[in-house]
Amino acid sequence: MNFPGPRATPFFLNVGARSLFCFHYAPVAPLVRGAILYIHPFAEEMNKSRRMVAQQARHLVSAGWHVLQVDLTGCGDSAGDFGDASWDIWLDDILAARIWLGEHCHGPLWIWGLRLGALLGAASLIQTPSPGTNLLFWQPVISGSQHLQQFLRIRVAGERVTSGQEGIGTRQLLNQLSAGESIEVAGYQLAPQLALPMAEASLTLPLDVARVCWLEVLSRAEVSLAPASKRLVDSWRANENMDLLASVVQGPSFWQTQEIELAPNLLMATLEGLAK
Amino acid sequence: METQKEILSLLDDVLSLKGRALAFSADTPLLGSIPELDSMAVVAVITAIEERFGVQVADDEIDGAAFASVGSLVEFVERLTAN
Repeated sequence: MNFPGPRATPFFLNVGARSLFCFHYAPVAPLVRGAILYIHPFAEEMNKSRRMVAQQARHLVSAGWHVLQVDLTGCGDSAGDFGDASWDIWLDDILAARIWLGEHCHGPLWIWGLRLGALLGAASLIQTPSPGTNLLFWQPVISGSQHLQQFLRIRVAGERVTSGQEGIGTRQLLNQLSAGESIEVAGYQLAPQLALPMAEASLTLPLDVARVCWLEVLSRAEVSLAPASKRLVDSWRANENMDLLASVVQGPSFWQTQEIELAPNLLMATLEGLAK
Repeated sequence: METQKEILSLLDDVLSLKGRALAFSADTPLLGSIPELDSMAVVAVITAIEERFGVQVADDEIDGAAFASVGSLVEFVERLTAN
């Protein structure tokens, strides 16, 4: 018996005056496993990872999962400029997407986040708890502050390395943000309402989350979790009520590589992590 | 894992060099010699160093000299990890 390919439906999810571009993949397998909400990473990482995420979504749908991809306010094809985005608005966007998914799909719900998307997904679950919602992390950002620094560094490092001049420093950029000024980095207009809460955020689990699947990708053959990841995962293992799977596969860091890359090992590890 | 091997693996990954970096030696020049290593790529390399080695790089630690060659980059990372 031949099943048709997965159906992918683009639509706009209206959240008050905001309009979020979404893609819903609906499974056609007789067995529907549940639903997955995907939260994308920050800035250029979103663009670089698009192809890998699309490939994973297709694999997930073929395995029986609903997948909902939502572009947060000011990102991708959603309404609004990046400069209008704020941490609170993004959390609100995620909540709206969670509600939509819960209304349209049955079965267990997973929030799948890549990089900052992982941190945002967990933050959403803490802000608005939902027992039974599980978390799938791809190379999660642990420290919002470090993530912001790495982004600000695009303005700082370029000048220092290529011209040897000091130019503006991250401390100065942070001061501007603290003073209420938006700043421009790599073509992105970054508002204080987005940057400052990001700087305060760190990857935290809701107390009652039942299942967490943490996946990383490393290009060298002998894979191991990044040092900061290992410390955090080890600290979480003390919670006996939580089913925690942490794994690393070999592959390119597709969210930041110069060329668009795919990580086939991650496709399989993700399917396996969710299938347990 | 030996720092130089780790750095070459990291460069190959971040710069999408398709295995070319694995043949580099300590003397291999980087900044100015590898077209893929532009200022955006430098930031990506620093980010990857922070995450793979579990270190934090301050603004004033970043300069062109560290990226002059494989050897200088290895020294840079070894200084960071020693602290």
